[in-house]
Amino acid sequence: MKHRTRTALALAGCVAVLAACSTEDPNASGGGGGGGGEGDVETGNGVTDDTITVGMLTDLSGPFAAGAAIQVTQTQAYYDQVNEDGGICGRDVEVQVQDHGYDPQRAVTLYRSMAPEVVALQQVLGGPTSAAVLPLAEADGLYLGGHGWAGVALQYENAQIPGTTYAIESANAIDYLVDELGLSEGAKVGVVYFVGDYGSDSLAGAQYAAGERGLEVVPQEITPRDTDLSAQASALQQAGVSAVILGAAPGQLASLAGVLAAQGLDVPIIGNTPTFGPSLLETPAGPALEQNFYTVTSIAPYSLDEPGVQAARELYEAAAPDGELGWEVPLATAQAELLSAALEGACEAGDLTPEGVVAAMRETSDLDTEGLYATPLDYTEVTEPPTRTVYVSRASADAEGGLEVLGTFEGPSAQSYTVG
Amino acid sequence: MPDPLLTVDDLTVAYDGAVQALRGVSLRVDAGSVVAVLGSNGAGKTTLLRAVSRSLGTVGGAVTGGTIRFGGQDLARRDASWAVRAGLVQVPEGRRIFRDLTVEENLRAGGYTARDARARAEATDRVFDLFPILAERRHQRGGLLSGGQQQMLAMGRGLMTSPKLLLLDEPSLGLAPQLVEQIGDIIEQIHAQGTSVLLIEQNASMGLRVADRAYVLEVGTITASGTAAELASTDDIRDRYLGVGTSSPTRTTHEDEPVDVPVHLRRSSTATAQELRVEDLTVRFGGITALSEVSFTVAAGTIHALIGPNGAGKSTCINVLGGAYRATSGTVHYGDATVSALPSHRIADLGVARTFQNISLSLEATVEDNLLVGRHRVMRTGTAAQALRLPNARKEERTEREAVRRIAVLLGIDAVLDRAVHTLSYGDRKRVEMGRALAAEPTLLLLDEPVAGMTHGESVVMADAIRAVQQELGLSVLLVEHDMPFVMGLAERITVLDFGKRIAEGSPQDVQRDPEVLRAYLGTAAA
Amino acid sequence: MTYLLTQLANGLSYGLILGLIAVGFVIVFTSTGVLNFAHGSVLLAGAYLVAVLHDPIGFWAAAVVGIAGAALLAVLINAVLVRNLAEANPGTAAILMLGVDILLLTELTRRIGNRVLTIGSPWGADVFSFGGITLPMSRVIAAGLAIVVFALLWFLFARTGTGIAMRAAAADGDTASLMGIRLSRTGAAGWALAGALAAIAGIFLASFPAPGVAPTLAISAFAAIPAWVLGGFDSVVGAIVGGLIIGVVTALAVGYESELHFLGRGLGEVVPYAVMILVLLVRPSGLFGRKEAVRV
Repeated sequence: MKHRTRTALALAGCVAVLAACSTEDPNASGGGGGGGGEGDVETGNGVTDDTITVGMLTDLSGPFAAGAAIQVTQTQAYYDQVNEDGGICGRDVEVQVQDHGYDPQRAVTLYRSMAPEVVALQQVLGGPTSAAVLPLAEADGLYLGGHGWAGVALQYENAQIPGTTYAIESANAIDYLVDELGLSEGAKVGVVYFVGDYGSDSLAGAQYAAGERGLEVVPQEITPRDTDLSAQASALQQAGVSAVILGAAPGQLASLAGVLAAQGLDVPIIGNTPTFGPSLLETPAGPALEQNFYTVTSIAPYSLDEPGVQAARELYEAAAPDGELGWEVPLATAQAELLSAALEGACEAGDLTPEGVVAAMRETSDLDTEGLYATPLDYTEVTEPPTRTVYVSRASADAEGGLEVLGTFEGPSAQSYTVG
Repeated sequence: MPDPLLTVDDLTVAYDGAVQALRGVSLRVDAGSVVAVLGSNGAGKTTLLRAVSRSLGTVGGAVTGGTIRFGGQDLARRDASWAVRAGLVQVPEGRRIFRDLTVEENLRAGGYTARDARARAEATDRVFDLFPILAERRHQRGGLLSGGQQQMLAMGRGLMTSPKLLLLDEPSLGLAPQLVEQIGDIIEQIHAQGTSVLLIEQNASMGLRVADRAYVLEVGTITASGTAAELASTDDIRDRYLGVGTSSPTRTTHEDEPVDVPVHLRRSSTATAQELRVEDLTVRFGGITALSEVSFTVAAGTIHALIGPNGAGKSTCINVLGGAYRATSGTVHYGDATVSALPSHRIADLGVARTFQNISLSLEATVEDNLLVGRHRVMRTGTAAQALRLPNARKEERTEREAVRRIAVLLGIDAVLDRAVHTLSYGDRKRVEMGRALAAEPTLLLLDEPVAGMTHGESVVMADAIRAVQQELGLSVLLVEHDMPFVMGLAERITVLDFGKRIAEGSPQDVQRDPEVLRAYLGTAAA
Repeated sequence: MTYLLTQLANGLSYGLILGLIAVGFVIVFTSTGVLNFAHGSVLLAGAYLVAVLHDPIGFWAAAVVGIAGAALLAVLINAVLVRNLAEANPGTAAILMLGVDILLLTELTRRIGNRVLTIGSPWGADVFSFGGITLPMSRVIAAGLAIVVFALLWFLFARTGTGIAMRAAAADGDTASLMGIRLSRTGAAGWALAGALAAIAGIFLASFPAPGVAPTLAISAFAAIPAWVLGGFDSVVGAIVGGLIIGVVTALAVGYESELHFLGRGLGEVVPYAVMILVLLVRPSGLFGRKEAVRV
């Protein structure tokens, strides 16, 4: 009996240590915002005379750990540079990182302990986790960014969506199929999507646009556990689809593209932002992807030749010379830029409090990101996405990060789609 | 004098570090001899065998003193696997064959340590010579064999490594008289082939017949030893183990004066025993007919026995009456209720309780808790009241504990009420199981081999207890048993089954004289 | 018709792979009484080894190392953790396995990162076509290999001393040890076998049409749990039949999702469990669960 207890305890200990290890920089800042401030800037939680603390609730031990780690690295590198250049509002920016492991319950708990110590949340990664935290942050009037592109976030005043929504991405995909890839009226389009906020939003946009453009949608619901999409591919072939839109993850993309090619179904596959990962090109599905895969993203792919993206690349390659490449790099840079702009705005308005940051974000009407996004961003309307334009890219083994940009695109149904 | 094959010297064994099972036991088995160990239940016989075969650990026991030497080697640091390889094999109590493995595979498992394929094939041939029935049924699953065949398989399995010393734990347990004789013959044959045997046996007459030497083990110590003939002529041994003494109490019938046991059992309801009518009962499993148009009637408030060779369908019959099996055709009525159409819990509600041939008790729970489970049917306060320990519930719990204690006293297990069941011997577990059935205040009690594994003296006590309960509570008893003195002394009426058919019925005197019964079951010895 | 046959072929080949995994669950359960919830991460570990080694040492050598590695890992889990639990109740061991699964999975997730590692198999993305039915070559090979493996398992358990000893130990360990069978050996053999089977299944689960080795692979092993349960927990044959049933039913549910629309979307996810529950309602001990042999 005693023996058994000891083994169990040892195990529990191991798990605890592991969790601790994967939490970088726990409670790095003492936090504690004072009421008073320097000059005539009013301050609140997370701001002292010499530091501004921002939080990241991210997934360092769950399914999105790998991409999340890139974002943490890049965000850290970004603020290191900001601090080197004199900081924001005369203060250094510190990033507090906590690992929620893609568990909404843990995310809420971590949020509660983090909220009083930060002036804004740079990121709450993940659909279910950010959905759990968003209402709480709204009640606290706390800025929340980096939560992905699900349309539901557009109802929160405090949420800064990092680009357009999945629905508008997919509406653009339909428009692109009709206008650029020559699908004719009456053609069928398969939509393979994850159950949940992400996939359902993608499906909604595709269905709306298909209605507008006279196409028919063939939906196929899957979960992240499905990595063999043979049955779905057969069903799509049976239905006679002329194109497929995919609202899923890289594993599903590789399987779907491979099987479709094996079945001799040579049709375009258009994916939402999270669908692609550069390592897919080394799998057996690589050739099929280069042949048929497109992606519609509001954030620029890694390889785009624009100053904003170039700067992000340089920063990242200096910070993590052997790091994995991917769209997470420009995304993290853009998210940090968005928050920095809001912090600067709040400083100028003399109100560097959580509420002040949200107010400043909502006054941003024409933010230029030097190519990180296709158009300037406008956050003045709460329920409106800041842009409806996407980059259209193709898979290419020659491009860094595996994607080669074809151009920007904004179709008629993407323009007319009403959110919510 | 040759070196002894096995010497046990001053052996002490304790369970769970506390319960002393053996105290200073010494014995020896010379090469080429058969040694029997007699003793009542709980005396430590099985413990002794397990200590020798190095398998005490799995039941929570440990040698705390003394030495065991086999072929000159000290076994202190050896495990069961080593012992088998050295030629020391135990055939466990209750046969314990692998039910889902075929006969051939059971033997193969027994010969696991014999790496040489030729030696294994020779051993298989030897076993098949010894037990021709096993050769015939070599491809059948072990679980489908009858009790006697299973015992043969267990012994055959033990012989597969051609051991120097075979440890046999109650080989005659639950076997018909004729088969007991046969097992005795087989032990002699095994001995003749050069294997020494250390035999534990509750059937002392068989044990003493085949053994050269014998020891009597009582409450963990050796109380007598000598040649088999010496012991067989001792009065004490004759009385307690052989049942041939002058004052055999089994001959009492229920018309005699009530036995002197303080019972004071009271029914908490007014239920009374009903007539049990079994009509044209047929049970088939797949292609095998286990019971074929069997009819008999148990009159209300009587003791009725069901006897017959192993595999005759007796347990099947009990299982249908208790609701565990479905009748293929035919009916069973208990009073006005049609038992054969009811699920087992509804049958229990009619006041029918049973015990099992293979004991089914909660092993980790105490004896008292096992008995209290039986009270469940007659307890009044609800689960919620019990959980909240309301005054009513507490009062009832005291009453229940009192009732359980009375049952325990009656069955002679009051001293072990606080012990966990897994620390008890086979015979004591039988008593606990019977106590649990009695605790439910049945009007009909079904007993499947209630005295299997008990010495003659113990079975006498059990018979008295059953009779006392039957008189005090006015219940009917239907029992299956191979212990003929027990059955003949206790039952008012006997039904004899063979190959699933009824071959005789009548009073004990009639049945004992029936030539058909003598041929099929009792054998010549009983005549 | 061709469509139906394609889906059936798909389901059968997938079902055989599930069978490989489910048999591993059964063997560990019968040999040591443990509900091995770390099976998925052992599978992932085996596939991971193949993925990282196929480049330097070639696919076949990598496959051998991966299978042996997974077997060794399983044996270590048994030797270091399970055996130290002594006579622990099954619940404790199952929870311990959940913990092991989390540890292994976290470490493997860290190593794999956001890459999708290819398994480097020689059959790559080849496709097998026969009479209008197309099936990935990896699936055809998987099905053939699974059948060979099952035949070998039958031979092991029915014809060899070790196999019979393992069955004896599973049926009644105490008695088996009286025959000189070492339970520590049969337990280790069971875990090793389960680990090897998991790695074989892992190689094919990570082959085309799946993308490659990703952490989700560990979760796909859990798809074999309904197969294991409906087969009856302790029956190797049951696990294989269960795998085939789950494989076919899942393929058909997904393939005919548009026709089965009234049942809602995402049917493929629910159907294995629905089938499992149905079977358990009719046969509570599963299709081939141990029933006491009837003594007459």
